Amino acid sequence: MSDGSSPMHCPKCGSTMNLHAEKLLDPRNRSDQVVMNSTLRGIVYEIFACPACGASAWRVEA
Amino acid sequence: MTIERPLYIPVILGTVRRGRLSEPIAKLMTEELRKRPGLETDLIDIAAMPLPINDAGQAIRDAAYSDAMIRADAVVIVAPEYNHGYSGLLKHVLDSCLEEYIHKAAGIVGVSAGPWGGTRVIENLLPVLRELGLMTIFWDVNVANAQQVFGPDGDLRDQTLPGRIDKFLKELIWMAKTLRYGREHISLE
Repeated sequence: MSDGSSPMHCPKCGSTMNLHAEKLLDPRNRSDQVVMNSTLRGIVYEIFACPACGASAWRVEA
Repeated sequence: MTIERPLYIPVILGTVRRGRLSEPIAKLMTEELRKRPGLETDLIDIAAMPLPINDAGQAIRDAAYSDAMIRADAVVIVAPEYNHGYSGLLKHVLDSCLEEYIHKAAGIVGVSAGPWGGTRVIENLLPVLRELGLMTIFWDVNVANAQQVFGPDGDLRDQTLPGRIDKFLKELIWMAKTLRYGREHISLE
């Protein structure tokens, strides 16, 4: 879990998921500009995996 | 480290061409994977997928393919070499997902009708896979003169191929296990 990020709960089993990656994506449209990280000039996605069932989840970094 | 859930390593057949020489190679890879205990696989044939061409990227994400990539611990990509590059439709499929691939292992089987065994398509694919978040292994399978690998009855004529596939899969499985552990237990600091 990253500092300052709320926990991600597995959509399949409810366990607390592990944050294992951050991926930078280029903004593609105007709505992406709203969530863009201005320093990195892109959208940072947090990528999670569930240690209990192996499910994946992701969200835009807060 | 205990692996409880079977590893899931699908094989992606990366061409839609009729008469494709890559198809028996992809089936061979799937058979070799099925021989290994604690592992599940499927053959994902991009020719059987809905592939709209009026849009691209994650806008054309196919639910079944996405689910397979979410479930996957690794992928085997069987990539024929067309004009020194990869199939455009393979790229179209790969681009339809992104988050699903992050920190998963990938191994490439290069296939060519000529003598170089898809070395160029492998080199061309590496930066694409890297950007998609896939971790490529340093073993490849190079299938040269693909039209001669199998006889008319489907018998395997290149007896060096199983040994090369074995080395490739050993490394891929190691990477799959290692990355699964990392994804599920090692946090980004």
